[in-house]
Amino acid sequence: MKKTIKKITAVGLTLTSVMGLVACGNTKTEEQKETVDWASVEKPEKFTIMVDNTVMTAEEYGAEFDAELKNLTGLDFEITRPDHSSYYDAVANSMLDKNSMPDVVLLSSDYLALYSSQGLLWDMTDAWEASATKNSGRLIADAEKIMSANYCRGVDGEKALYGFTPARGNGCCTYIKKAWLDAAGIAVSEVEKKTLTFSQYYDILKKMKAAKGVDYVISAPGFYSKEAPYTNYLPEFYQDAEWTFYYDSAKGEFVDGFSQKAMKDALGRIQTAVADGIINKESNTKTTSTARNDFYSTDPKTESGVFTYWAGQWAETLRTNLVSKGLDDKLIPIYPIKELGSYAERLAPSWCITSHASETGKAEGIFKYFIDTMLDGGDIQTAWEYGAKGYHYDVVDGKFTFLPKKSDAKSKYTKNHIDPMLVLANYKSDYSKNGTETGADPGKKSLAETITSCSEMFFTHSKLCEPAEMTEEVGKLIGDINTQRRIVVDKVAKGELTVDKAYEEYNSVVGSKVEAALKSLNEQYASK
Amino acid sequence: MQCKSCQTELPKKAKICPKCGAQVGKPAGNTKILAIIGMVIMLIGGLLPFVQSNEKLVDGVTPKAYAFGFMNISMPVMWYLFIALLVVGILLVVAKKEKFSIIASALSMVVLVVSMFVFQFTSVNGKTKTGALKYEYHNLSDLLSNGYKGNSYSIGCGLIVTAIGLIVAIVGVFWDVVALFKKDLGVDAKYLSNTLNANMWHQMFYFRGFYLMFLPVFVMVLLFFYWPMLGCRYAFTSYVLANPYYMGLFHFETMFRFDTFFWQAFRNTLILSITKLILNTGAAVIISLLLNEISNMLFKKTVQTIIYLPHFMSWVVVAAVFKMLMSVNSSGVINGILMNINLISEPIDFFGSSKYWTGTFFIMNIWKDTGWGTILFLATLSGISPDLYEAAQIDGANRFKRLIYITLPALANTIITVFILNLAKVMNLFESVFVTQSAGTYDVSQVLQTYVYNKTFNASFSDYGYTTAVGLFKSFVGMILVLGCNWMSKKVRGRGIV
Repeated sequence: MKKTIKKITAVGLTLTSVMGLVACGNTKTEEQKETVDWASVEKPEKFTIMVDNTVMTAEEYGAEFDAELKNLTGLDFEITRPDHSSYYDAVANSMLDKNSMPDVVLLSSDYLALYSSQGLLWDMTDAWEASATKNSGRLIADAEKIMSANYCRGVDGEKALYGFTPARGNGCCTYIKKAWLDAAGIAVSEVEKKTLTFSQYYDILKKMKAAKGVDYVISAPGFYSKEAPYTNYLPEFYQDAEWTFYYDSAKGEFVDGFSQKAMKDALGRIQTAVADGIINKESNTKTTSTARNDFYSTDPKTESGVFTYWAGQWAETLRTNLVSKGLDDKLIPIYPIKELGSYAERLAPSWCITSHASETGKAEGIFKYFIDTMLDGGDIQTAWEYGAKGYHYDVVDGKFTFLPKKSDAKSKYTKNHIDPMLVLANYKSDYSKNGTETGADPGKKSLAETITSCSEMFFTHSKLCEPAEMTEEVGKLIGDINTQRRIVVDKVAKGELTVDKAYEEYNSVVGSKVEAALKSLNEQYASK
Repeated sequence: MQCKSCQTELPKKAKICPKCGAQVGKPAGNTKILAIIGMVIMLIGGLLPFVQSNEKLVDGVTPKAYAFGFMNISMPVMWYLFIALLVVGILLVVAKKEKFSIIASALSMVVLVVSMFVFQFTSVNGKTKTGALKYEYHNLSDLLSNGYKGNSYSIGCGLIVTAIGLIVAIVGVFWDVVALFKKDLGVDAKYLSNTLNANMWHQMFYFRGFYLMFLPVFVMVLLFFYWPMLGCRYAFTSYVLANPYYMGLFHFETMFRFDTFFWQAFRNTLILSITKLILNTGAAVIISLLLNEISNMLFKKTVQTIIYLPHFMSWVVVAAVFKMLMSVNSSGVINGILMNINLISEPIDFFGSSKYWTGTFFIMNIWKDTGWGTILFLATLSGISPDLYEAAQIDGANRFKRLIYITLPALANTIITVFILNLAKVMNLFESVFVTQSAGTYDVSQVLQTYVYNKTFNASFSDYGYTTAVGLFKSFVGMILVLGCNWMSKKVRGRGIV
């Protein structure tokens, strides 16, 4: 009997301790905001960073870049690089547990809004105001406007800066193949540097289709994009339509952009274009990579002539890929059509410091010595723009050259995380990298003309997107609402439903969710 | 004291007769399963709300201070104590000290009632700047009598379930349910098993080498199959990114009452899985019968190899190949052929249209898995005695008659077995659907697994609590199917699948 009781007690205690883990609770306490003496902030101890593949990957001398950055900053950190396609899954998983939460994380504007609304990010408003970067006098004219767009609501409903963006967000513009224009008997001068109307643009597309005898003219990675601003792969068709909730100043309240007339008209235009064989009917099954492949395709059955994709660096990448396939490489990046007005410049991904770093007392140090040095106008900025010297680029006797890629020796590196065409700060006036021109970006002159001209065209004709408004309710509901929006667009585009019928379904399936989301947004707006 | 069986004088404190192996004293009897079930019910009851708001739920709105249970008690140690007592109770039953388990289960009920009325419970009212939850404290007796913020409260199902569990646990101590299902063979127990089998620990020591080999597997199973099950508790919480808090049965109520996507996915899972099962099994039987009729061995083996091969291709590759062949554009071979022979005038959008997606999905499945499915049937067919065919031939039976009266009856048992074994897996449909679906076909292609995946990973804003609730429901239905199939399997084959 005694032995039995002992055994039972031992096993019982073990099981109880295991079951007890089930009931672990959270006992965080409310944080008080403190005034920080920035001059006395010291370098942080070792910290962790999570980045996507916009920072040099492990396969592209990522370790060498890390080593150079550690050497330049004198910081001890560890960079985690999850797989690009599942980057945000990895970020979300890391946020579940304090032990796995990184101290610094790179987040897109959607995730910035969500994570700040959940109190997972450190408020860097004061840090930015006191930062060396902001007070350097080297910021470009639009820098303040771009940083302002990153202000989003925290868990307290107040707007604050939760992420630092060292570069503009860039956006998509529409490229037309010159060879297709030639085939349709349209002179380049008729489209280049011209603001076309939608009917003129559509007419050009129809002429190209007729001349080439193809199934479709435009290849798009979906009838919508999977992230904000959602409409940027078919901008000429969406025009002024808004995909999601926005504040309508005329009405003085938030409205569902997807339910507005502008979106219904846009869907009508997409449906017509698909039926006319202008947009690929199979766009809904395409990814960015397969849609790009259609643009480079040497098979006349699958080749497309018009493609809306990223401006700047991608203009050159698209061109070189066309060359490698033996196709005509002349691309015309067109101005936004009249009804569109301007292309959408997305909000750039932001460098955020997590609440975990804040709780361990590292946040201020990380900001001062890691984030605030990204745009130092010197060697650290060069490392963020071009990578590690001797691996990604080299400078010999004042001549800057990009080096061949580790993964593909036929092509060369053109940038690291910060695109030199998009960077928010200029170099220091006395900076020179091994004899390069003093005060100038050392590698910018080495960029192809295609990149610089396309970037300039884009920034002259683009408008910065508004940041997404977020509440806890919206966070919970937006998944279902977006699913139904995607269903509506796909079904209307394919002609399976009329616009009216599709909206009946939209209202019956997620109408109450949309109402609840709008109510929470309007309540938040009214209370602040 | 003498052995009742062989009358041998027994040593002091002997439990087994050294001569004949007969058990000394009262037989221990069967484990009181019903008592264990009762205590498991009580453990489940501990997850459910003791007090719940009577607030009318509205689609899209998350109520505040909705439910109160052990998961939001201000003294979580009471929950640990409740769990500990029940674990002790279960162990007492296993150790055949059932009557003591009544004390443990009754004490756990006392702990619950004391917790309800002595300690405070928390509700969440927003978050702090660093994301921590802002708590408000409530007395359940106050809530029940005065309500909160205009809402009235009533006793929740947690208390009722726990009380039912207690009754079952107590009744189970006195009622040997297992005896109802056991046949008394009228043979002395000592002849049914050797002395080693009579004691689990002796048996384990005797076969320690095997158990040592099994240890890594056991650890892996615990780590990867059972440890994650503790996450089931999140089904009762609101859990967007971090800091989950207790919501009782809110997700389940939302899921059943408002979630159109959930019901659509549930319906599609059953339709796609069961139809696929019938078609695949039917096609495999037909192909097996045809292959069985081939007498040229070289040709038979070649055909078998060719039809097995698709099984080894990944679904991603299969989907890419089919999408290329069935493209709606002029590059699509299938549409080209159909249009050239004037069967259709407009190309069919096989993957993008809800009207055609289901058929396309079944064709892909049959193409990929039929060959593999024939293995079992061919093995059975090869086991049919040739004498039967010979006798039938002498009696004048033609090929068709031989098929009807010999082959099919011989195959029937295997067909049913395969069908039953696969029926248990119908809720696990994912990969084949995921690689072929798009938003435009969600009305026919969204199944529970893809729904949970999309809602968790593709929605940007993952509500882990809700998707865990959907997953838990899926597992529950899956469990019923497995148990149902096990029962059917016992009826058909004489032995179960679990």
